Amino acid sequence: MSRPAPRRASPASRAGLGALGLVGAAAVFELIPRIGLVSPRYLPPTTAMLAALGREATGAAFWRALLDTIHGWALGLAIAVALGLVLGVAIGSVRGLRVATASTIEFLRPIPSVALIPVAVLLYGAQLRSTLLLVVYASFWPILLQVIQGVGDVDPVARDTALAYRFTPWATIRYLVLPTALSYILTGLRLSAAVALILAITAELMIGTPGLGKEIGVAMASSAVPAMYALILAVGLIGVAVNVGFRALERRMLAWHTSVRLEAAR
Amino acid sequence: MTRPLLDVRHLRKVYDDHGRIVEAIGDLSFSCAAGELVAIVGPSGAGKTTLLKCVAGLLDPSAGEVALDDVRVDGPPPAMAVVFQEYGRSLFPWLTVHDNVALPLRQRKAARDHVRGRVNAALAEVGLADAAGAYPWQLSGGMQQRVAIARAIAYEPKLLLMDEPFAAVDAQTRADLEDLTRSLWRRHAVTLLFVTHDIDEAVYMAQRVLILSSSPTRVIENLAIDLPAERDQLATRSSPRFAELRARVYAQIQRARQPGAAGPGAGGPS
Amino acid sequence: MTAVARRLVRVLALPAALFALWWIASAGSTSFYLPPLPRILAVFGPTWSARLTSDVLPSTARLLLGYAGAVVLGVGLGVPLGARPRLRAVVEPTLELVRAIPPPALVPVFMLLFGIGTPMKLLVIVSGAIWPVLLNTIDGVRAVDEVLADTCRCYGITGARRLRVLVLRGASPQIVTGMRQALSIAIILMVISEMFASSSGLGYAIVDFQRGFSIPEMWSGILLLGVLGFALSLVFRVFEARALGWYHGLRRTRRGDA
Repeated sequence: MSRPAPRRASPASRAGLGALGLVGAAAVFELIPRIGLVSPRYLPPTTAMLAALGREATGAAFWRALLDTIHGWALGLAIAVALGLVLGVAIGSVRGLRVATASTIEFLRPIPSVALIPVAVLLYGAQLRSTLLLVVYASFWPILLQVIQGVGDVDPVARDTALAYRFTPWATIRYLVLPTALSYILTGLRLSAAVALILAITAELMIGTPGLGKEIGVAMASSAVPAMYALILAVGLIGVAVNVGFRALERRMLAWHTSVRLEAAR
Repeated sequence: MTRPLLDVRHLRKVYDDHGRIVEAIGDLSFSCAAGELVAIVGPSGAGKTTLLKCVAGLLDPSAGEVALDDVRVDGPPPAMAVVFQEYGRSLFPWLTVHDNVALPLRQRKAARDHVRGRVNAALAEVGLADAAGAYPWQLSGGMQQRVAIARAIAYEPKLLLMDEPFAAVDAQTRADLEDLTRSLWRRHAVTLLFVTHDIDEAVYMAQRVLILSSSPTRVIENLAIDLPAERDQLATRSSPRFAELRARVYAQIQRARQPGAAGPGAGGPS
Repeated sequence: MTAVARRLVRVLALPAALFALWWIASAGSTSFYLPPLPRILAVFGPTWSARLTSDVLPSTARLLLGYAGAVVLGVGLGVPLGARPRLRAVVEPTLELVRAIPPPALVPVFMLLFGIGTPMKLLVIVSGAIWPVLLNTIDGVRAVDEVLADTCRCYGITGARRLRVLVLRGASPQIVTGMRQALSIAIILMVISEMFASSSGLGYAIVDFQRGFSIPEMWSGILLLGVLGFALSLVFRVFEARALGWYHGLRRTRRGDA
């Protein structure tokens, strides 16, 4: 059978299909406990989860915990990104450094951040610094690697062109290195942001530092099952917001700098 | 008159390009007898590639039909092979040259020795017997296109379609590939229909040249090329008859580029 | 000095220097929580040889099993999703939401539904490690070259054969990227699943040491985790080099032309 010319589904219809999927998933999770496939004590129906979420949202404790999580996430991310940028630019610009550090990075990177949980507990207890230790360690690597790659990935033809036109060092950085590295940096930022959130929640859950993760643990310990699910859902929604937000940022910034490059070309 | 192998009747193809209706092909009719070598030329944007894809069964026509051996084409027919312009993308980069050529044959569940024999013969014909174990990306552009041609030849199709096959190689390689294609065509007696934007190439290679108008595309002229069967890059291209034919095609295309120019929709071997 | 020796020096120079630094810096340490490196190394051998069959091997087995499950499921679901845009549109927002839930946050849920045995641990590993495989498979399948797909249609290569010959092999570079990321995630989740209510395993042992204030043993466990992660990533690189030899060659030539 011949394939007809592919028609791109309109954004509206894609959104509609997506909404259908969400509703379908919600319906499935509504039915499973109701028909007794799983006991509603362990898996509350969707409506019960949403109701619990509503209840949480009206309480101050939820928002305090949310703020704590965001605080740990943002601070840890900022530190990791700063370190990653500085070290990444330094290592990426000097070929010798890149080669020398490659093996160390390869060795340290697979060390799971969770290995630091006991260390954090011993050193800092259930405080913000425990969260920061985990978050910074884990989200440092994605941004570092992306920056190293971005700084080293300048198109040789473009570099030759810049030389031929006798670009000043500043112009070279501004029109050559930065735009190339920028897309890598933004990708690294997005990856690190996602990892940072995961580790922040993990630290709160496993160590008990203040935040949504800790609330999840508390709900589990006190068998407040719908509340536990509601909090997990809330964490998921925050994660989606972070992902969507950083992807939009990426798109916006890259569109901007493409126009800058066009100007430079003129 | 013998029954034509390929029969295109009132082909029409309309696209919907983001709300804008594009009439790529208006009303196209022509036919090819078995064993013919026919070239299709036209101004850029004349829907030549669209035409080839419709003939190949890769696209559904909006109206009209294509028949191969009296059977309506609805999806790529088994007795047909296509050589694309983008040779780099039509060869499987994870397979060796040998495996690339063998792939369509393995589909037919032929014996392994038989397949290997056919593959080696095809590669020898295109001059790549030594490259059987290499990967396509290790070869030059011209060699890659030869692998694609070898694959088509080994498949032993009745109809061979080529979509601007030599547009992406340098002039020297192009000349070699033109001659190679002509010799393969004669040796295997396959029906060859190829699309090109290069007028000289069309006149040099073909027995007949179909000149297309600009969009909406129609056949303006069905020009018989009465050059001798033995063609040579130097001698043929400098012959006076070549210059006449070339000039005629060129003039027709220039006229076709004027808006509103649409020749008779005639087709059929003259 | 030969080229091989020079390369070896370059590769080992910094790690060796850092290791030496750690040794020297901690040698005189009297801190309870940060014992000297020689001490950690001294307890490494006896601690873990005693726990080899009770903790290390079962953990590794669970890790590999969970990882394999994540890869199979990720590819199995990723191929149809990558090939059918409408299906993808339906499933996408739900996947985004589920994916954004940090796997450790799902551990309480899994414990509730599946208890605290091996199935729960395997599920935790799969629930996190599946995502890079799934998403990369979808991307790889979507990006199958159009000309190559047309070639397959012309030569009548369809169905299961097309899946094997075109789709899976074409998407394999992306899939392998996903598999690499999934490996690190699998290790992390294996440890986490054992740090929770568990009575055996590498993660459990480390937490047990920490609770019992056996600090050098705890650090030796962390060291072991690092070695395990490093060793697995090395094995993976060997696998990647064999499976994607054609891809590396292709990129090398492309980059040479650029």
